[in-house]
Amino acid sequence: MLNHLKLKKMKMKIRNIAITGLLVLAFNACDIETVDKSALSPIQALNTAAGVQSALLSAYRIAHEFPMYGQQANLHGDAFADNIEIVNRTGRYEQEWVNGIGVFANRWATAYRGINDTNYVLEYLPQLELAKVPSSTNVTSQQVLDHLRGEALFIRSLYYMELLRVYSYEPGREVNGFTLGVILRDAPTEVVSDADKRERSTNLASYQFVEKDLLEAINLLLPASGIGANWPTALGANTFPFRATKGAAHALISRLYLYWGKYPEADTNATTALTLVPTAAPVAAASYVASWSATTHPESMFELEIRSTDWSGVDGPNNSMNSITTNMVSGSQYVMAASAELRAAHEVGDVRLGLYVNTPATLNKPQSRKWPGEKGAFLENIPVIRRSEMYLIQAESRARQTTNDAGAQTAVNSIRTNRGLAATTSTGSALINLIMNERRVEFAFEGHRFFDLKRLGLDIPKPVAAGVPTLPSSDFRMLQQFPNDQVLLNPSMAQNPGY
Amino acid sequence: MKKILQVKIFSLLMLITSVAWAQDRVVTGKVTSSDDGSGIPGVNVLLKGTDIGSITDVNGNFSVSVSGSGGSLIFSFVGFVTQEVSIGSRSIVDIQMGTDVTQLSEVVVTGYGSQEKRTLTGSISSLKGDVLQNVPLQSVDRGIQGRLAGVQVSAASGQPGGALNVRVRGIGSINASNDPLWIVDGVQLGRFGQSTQGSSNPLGAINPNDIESVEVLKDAASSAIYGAQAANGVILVTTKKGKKGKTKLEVNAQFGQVQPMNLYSMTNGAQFAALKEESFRNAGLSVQTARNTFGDASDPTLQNQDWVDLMFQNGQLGTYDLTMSGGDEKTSFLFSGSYQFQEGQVIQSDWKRGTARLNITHKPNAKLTIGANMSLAYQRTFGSIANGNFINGPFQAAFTAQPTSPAFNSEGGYSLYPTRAPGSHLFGYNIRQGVDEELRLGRTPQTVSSFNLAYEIIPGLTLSGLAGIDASFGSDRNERPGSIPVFAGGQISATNRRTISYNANATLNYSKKFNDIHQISGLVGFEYRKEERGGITASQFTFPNPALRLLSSGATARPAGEFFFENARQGAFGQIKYALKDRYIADFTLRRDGSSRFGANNQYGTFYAGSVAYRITEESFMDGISWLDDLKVRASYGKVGNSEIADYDWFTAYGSPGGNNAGYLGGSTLRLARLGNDLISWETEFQTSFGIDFALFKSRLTGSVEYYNNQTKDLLFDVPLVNDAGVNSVRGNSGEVVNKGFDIELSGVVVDRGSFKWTVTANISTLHNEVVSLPNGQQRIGNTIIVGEPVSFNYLFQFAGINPANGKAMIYDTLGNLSYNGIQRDAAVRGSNIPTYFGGISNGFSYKGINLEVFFQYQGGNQAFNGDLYNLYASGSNANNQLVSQLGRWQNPGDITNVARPFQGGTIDGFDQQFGTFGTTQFMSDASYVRLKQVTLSYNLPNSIISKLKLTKVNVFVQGLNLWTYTKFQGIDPEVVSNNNGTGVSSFGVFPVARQFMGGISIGL
Repeated sequence: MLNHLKLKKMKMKIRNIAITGLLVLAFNACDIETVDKSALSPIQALNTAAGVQSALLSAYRIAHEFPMYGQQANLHGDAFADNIEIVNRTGRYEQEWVNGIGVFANRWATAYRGINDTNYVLEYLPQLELAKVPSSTNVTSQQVLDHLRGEALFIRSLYYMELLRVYSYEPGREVNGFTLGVILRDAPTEVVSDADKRERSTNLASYQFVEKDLLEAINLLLPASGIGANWPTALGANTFPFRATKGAAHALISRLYLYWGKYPEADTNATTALTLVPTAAPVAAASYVASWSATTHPESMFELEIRSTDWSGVDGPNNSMNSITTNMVSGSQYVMAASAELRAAHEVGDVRLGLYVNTPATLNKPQSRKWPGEKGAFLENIPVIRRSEMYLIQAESRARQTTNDAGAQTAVNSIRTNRGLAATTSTGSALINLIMNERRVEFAFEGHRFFDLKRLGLDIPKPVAAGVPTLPSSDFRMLQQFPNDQVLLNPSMAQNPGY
Repeated sequence: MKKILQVKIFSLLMLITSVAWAQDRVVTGKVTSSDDGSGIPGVNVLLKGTDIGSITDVNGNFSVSVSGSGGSLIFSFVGFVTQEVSIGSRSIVDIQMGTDVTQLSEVVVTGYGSQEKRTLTGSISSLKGDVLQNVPLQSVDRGIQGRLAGVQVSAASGQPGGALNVRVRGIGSINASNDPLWIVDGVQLGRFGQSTQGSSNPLGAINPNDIESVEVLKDAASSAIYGAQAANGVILVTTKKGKKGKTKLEVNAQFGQVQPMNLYSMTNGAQFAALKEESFRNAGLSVQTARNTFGDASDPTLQNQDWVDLMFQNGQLGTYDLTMSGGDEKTSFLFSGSYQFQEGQVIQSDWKRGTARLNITHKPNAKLTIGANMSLAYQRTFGSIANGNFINGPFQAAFTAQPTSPAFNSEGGYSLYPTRAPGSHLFGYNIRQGVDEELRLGRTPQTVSSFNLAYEIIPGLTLSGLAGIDASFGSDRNERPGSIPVFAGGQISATNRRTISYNANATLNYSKKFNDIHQISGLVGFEYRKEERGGITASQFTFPNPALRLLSSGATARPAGEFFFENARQGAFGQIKYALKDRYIADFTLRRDGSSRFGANNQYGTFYAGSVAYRITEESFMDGISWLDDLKVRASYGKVGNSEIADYDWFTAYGSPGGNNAGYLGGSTLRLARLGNDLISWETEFQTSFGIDFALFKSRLTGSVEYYNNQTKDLLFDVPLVNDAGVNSVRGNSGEVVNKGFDIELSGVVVDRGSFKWTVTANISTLHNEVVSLPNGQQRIGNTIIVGEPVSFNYLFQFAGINPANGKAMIYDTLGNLSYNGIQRDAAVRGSNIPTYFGGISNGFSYKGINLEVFFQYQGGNQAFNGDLYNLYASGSNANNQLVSQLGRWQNPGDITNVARPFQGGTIDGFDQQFGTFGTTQFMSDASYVRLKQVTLSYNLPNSIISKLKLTKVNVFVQGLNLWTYTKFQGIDPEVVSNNNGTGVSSFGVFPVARQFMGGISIGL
C-alpha cells in the first residue's frame, strides 16, 4: 500500500515536472516580436541635422553610381556623337556608338532614387528644431539649415537636368512638336500611395521647375568660403568642391540657361559663378595635362570623388572611368579611345593633344588620359562642373547674342591662351564654330558633345570607324527610350516617339 | 538516493504486475523470415483482445503467457505482413513471416506523430533509409531525387556537397521561398546557405547513412499541422535508432573516382587564330592586328593550350562509416561516425565532411521515455566560382580562354594572359593561375540535435515535449594573392557567421479503439521556433607577401560589414482522426500561427485541412475479388501558408545602405531601405488532392495515383512601383499561381522465381504551373512574369537562321517576317525551364546474395536557354575561344549554316548577331533528359562464410552514378538548369554534376 502511494506520488511528480516544464516553455515562447537592427523609421532616422545630412549625402553618393557620373553620364555624350572609337569589343558602348536603342535604361531609376533622397531632405529639414541644429562661430543654425536645403535643391536639379537632356528636347528645339519633359516629383515617397502614376510634364514646365529650384538654391547656399573650416564640426566635413555651393548653383543654372537658349541669363550666371570660387582663371597650359592626375581637379566648381571604399569588389576593373578609357592598369576594359575625328579637331600646338597617348601598348589608338586612375586604389575625381565650362558658356552666349563678339572673344581666349593656342579674332558664325569646337575639344570624354549638338538642333556626325551615317537631328534616336517596363507599368507615361 | 530507491521500487512493482498478469500457461515459439529462414527479432506478439504480449528476442524467440482456452496470437512487425495465428492447445507456435510489399502495416512518420500507412488520408511519400545506404551522395536531398512522386529535385550546382533545389508539387511562389520545410528528428532546419565561397547545403550536416526514413508530406491533409510553414511541403527525416539486442557494429568503406561529363569541345590554337583573322578581315580591320593579338594561324609553332584539359580532372572520393547500435529493455542507442571526401571534376574544388551521432533512448519505467538525438558535423568546402558569366570561374574561362595563349611560361611560371596582349581578354586573368592560387574556403561546424521526453499519462494518452536546435557557425575565407596580376597587392576577405534555428514543442497525443470498431486518435500541441542569423565580414587589400594571410597584415582597409536577421514564430495546433471499422476514415487538422515577419494587423493566421478515406476492400462485398488485396480512395482539402520572405518587410525602413554605399567622402549616408506595407501577410495555398491506393495480385503490384491542385493566393510580391517614385517596389500580397498534376507511384515484382527476383519501382509526376493573376490586375510584370504563363520562362526572339546571302543572323518579327533587328515587340515567351513531368524508375534484381540496382531518373517538357553560347557560339566574333561547331560558319554566299558570318565585335551594320537584348531561340534547347543515375552491384557473402569469420554481414559492392544521359540539351548538363524567374538565361557557367565510380565493402560484426 505504501509502495503504491509512493508510486502514485512519483508519477504525480514526474507528470508535474513535465507539465510545468512544458508550460514554462510555452510561457517563454509567447514573444515573437523582433527588431531590425539595421534600420529605423524615417521619422526616427531624420530627426537630427546629422541624420538629414546623411540622407543628403546619399543623394551625392548616388550621383557617382555608374549610370550617372561614375561612368555613363561622362561617356554617353561622347559615344553617341563622334568623339570616340571602340577599341575593345566588350559589349560596352558598342550600341551607343552606333546609336542603338534603349541604352539609358539605368539612368531613369538611378536619378529618381537620388531625387527621392533629396525630397526626403526637403520634407524633414523644416521639421528640425532650430535650437538643436549645430552651428559654428561663422555659420548660424539657420544658415546650416538653409545651406542643407540649398544643397538638396542643387542635387535635385542636377538629376533633373541629366534626365532632361537624355529624354526630352530642349524648349524651342522640339522635333514634330514633341514637347514632353520628365516626370516631376517634389515630395518623398513615404507610403505606397505617394508612388502614383504620373504623366510627364512638358519640357518647358520641367525647365521652369529646375530654374525655380536653382534660383532658390542660389539664395540659400553658402559660398565656397562659407563651408570648409566654417562648417559646424558636429556635422563633419563639408569641403569645396565636393558639396554644393552658391557658385556651383550659379554655374549649374548657367548651364540650364545655355540649353534653354536663354543666353543673357547664361552669361550673367557664368560670370557670377566665377566670382564665387577661390580661383577664377583656367588651368594654365603648362599644367593642363597634369591637372587630370591631380586629386581634386584644380578647375572643379563641383566635383564628385570616388574613393576606394566606394567600389565593390570588381567595380574598379569593370566600371571605373579609368578602366573603360585606358589600359594603364592590368585588367582594364579599355573600351574606347579618341576617334580620329576628335584628334583632328585639335589645332596645332594645342596642349590638350598631350592627353592622347598613341603607342603599341594602347593598341595604337589615341588613348585618353583624362581618367588616368593613377592616384591609387581607384581613387577617381569627377569634375561635374569646371571653370572652363563657365568661360565657354560666357563665350557662346555672348557670341549668340550677336552684339558681343568682343566679349565672346575675351571669354574663349581665356581658354585658348591657357591651352597653347593663339587668341582668336574671329567673329560671327566663324567665332561660334570656333567656340563649339573649343567645347568639343575641352570637354572630350566628359559627356557633353552629343548634347551640345542636340540642344542646338544639329545633326550628329559619326566617326568613320563607327561605320554608320550621320544621325539627323530629326531622327527619333536623338531622344532615348524610356525603360519599357516603366511604360507598361504606367500607361500615363508617354514613351518617346519612335519606340 | 531517494529517487533511485523510488525507481527501484517502481521497477519491482512493474515486475510484480507482470507476474500478476500471468495466466495458466506459457506459449513459446520462434518467428522466422519466409525469405531466408532467419529469426526476426523485435516482432510484436500480442494475445488478441488483451494487453498481454511479448517481443521476440535477437534470435526470433518469444514466450507469452496465455489463458488455458486457446485464443490467438497476433504477430506484427514493420515491413512484414501481420499474422493472426490460433493457438489452440499448442504450447509451441513457430511461424514464418513474409515481407509486406504493400507496406500496409508500415508505420509512417507524420507531423508530431506517426500513423499506419493503411489508414492514412493524406499524401505522404516515404523512402526507407536502405535506398540511401552507402550511396556516396553528400546529402539526403540528393538521395531522394527521382525516388518520390511529386518531389522534384535538381542540382543547383555540381559542387561536391553543394545545394539542390527541392520542389514538392510545383512552384507555388514567385518571391517567397519554394523550399520545403525540412525537419530532422523534430528539429526544423534553418533555410540559409552557409558559405559564399561555393555552393553549400545545410542538409550536409546529416550523414545519409544515419537515416532511417524520409517522409514527404505533400498535401494539406498531412502538412497543415505545420500551418504557415507547410505550403511548400514538409520533409521529415528520421534517423536510425538502436534496437534491443546484442550490440551490432557495422563498418563501411568505399573509394572511387569523379569524372567530368560532356564538356564542350573547343577549337584549337590554329582554328581559333584562323577564325579571328577571318573575323577581323570581314569587319574591315587589320588582319595583322588579329595575328598580333590572337596568333598567326599559319605559324607552325603557334601555341595550342588545351585549357579545358588544364582545368578539369578526374577527382577522388571516399567515404568511411562506422555504426554501432544496440540496447536492452530500458536503453537503446545508436552511435555513428563518418568521414567523407570528394574532389570536384574541376581542379581546386573539394568537399570534406566528418560526422558523429549519438541517438539514445531510455525508459526509466513503462510510462516515461526520454531520448536525445545528437549530431555534430564539420563540412569543409573548397568552392569554385560558378553559375554565372564569371571570367574568374573555371566553368566560364576554361572554355573561353584563348588556346593561343599558354598558361605557363618557359620557366614554368604562370604566363600573363593573354600572352600577346596581356589584359586584353578576361581582365588579364590566367584562369589556371587564378584557380590554383585563389583560396575559397568555407568551413562549417553544425549540430542538428533534439531532446525529447514522453510520458504516458494513461494508456493511449501521451504527453511529449521536444526541444531541438540547428546551429552552425560558418567561416569563409577568400584569399586572392597579389601574385595574380588583377589582384595586385592581394585581397583577403573573411566572413564569420552564425545561423541558429531552434524550436520547442509540447504535444498531447491520444489514441484509443472503442468497441473494436471506433478508432479515435488525435493530438494537440504548441510550438515555438526562432531563427537567427548574424555575421561579420571584413576584408583588407595590399599585403606585403602572399604568405602573410591574416587580415591584420593588409595595408588598405576595406569597409567591414555586419548583418543580423531574426524571426520568431509560434503556433498552436490540433488534429483529430476517426476510423470506423478500419474502413471509413476522417481526419481534421487546425493550426494557428503567428510570425514576427508580419505587422500587427496580420500577425496571426489560421490554417486547416480536412480529409477522408474509404477502404473499399474492407467491405464484405469485396471479399470475392481475390486479386484485389487493398483499395483505398481518399480526398483532402486544406489551407496552408508560406511565410518565407525577408524578416522585416512590413515596416518602412530608413537605414544605411552599407558596404560601398555607406558613405560619401567620409560622411555616413542614410536612405530609404524599403517601403513598408504593414498589411502584408502569408501566402496562402489551398491544396486539393484526390488519390487511390491499391495492392493487386497478392501485392505483386502496388501503387497510388493522385491528382493535386494547389492554388497559391495572396502571393508575396514586389509590387512594382514606377521608378520615378525613387522606390522600385513594395511588398504586397496579390496574385495567384496554380500548380496541378498527377503523382503516380507503382511498385511491382516482375519476376519471383526460385532465388531470382526482379522488382520495379517507378514514379512519374506531371506538373502544370501557371500564373493566374498579378497585382493590380496587371497582365504582366515586364518580361519576367505574365499571366497564363509559368512562373519562369524564356523570353526570346524566334531565331530564323543565317541569311545564306550575307551570313547575317535573322529572327522572325511579330508579323513572321525575317528581320535583322529585334525590337521589344518581337520577343515572346518561348518555353519554360520548369519541367512538366519528372520521375524515376528503379529496377532491383536479386539472385542469392547478388543484388543489382539500376536506377534511371528523368525530367522533361522544359526548354532551357544556355547562356554559355553567348561566349562560345559567336563565330569567332568575340575574343573567346569558340566551340568546334563555329568552324561551320558562313563564309560564302549560298552557305547554309546556323553559324553567322565571323565579324569582329559581333555587330554587323549596328545589329547584334546574337540579339543580345533578349537572345534568340538559337541558344534554347529541349532540356528533357533521362539519366542513368545509379547502378549498384553488390554481393552478400553467404552465411556459411561469414559465420566462420565470426561476422554477421559482409557485403562488397561497386557502383556508378550518372553513368549515361540522353538529352537534346545543347549545354553541358540538363540537370543544373535552374529556374531563375525569367532572366532569360537558364544556365551560364554552371558547375555540372559529375560521373562517379566507386567500390566498397560493408562489414557487420
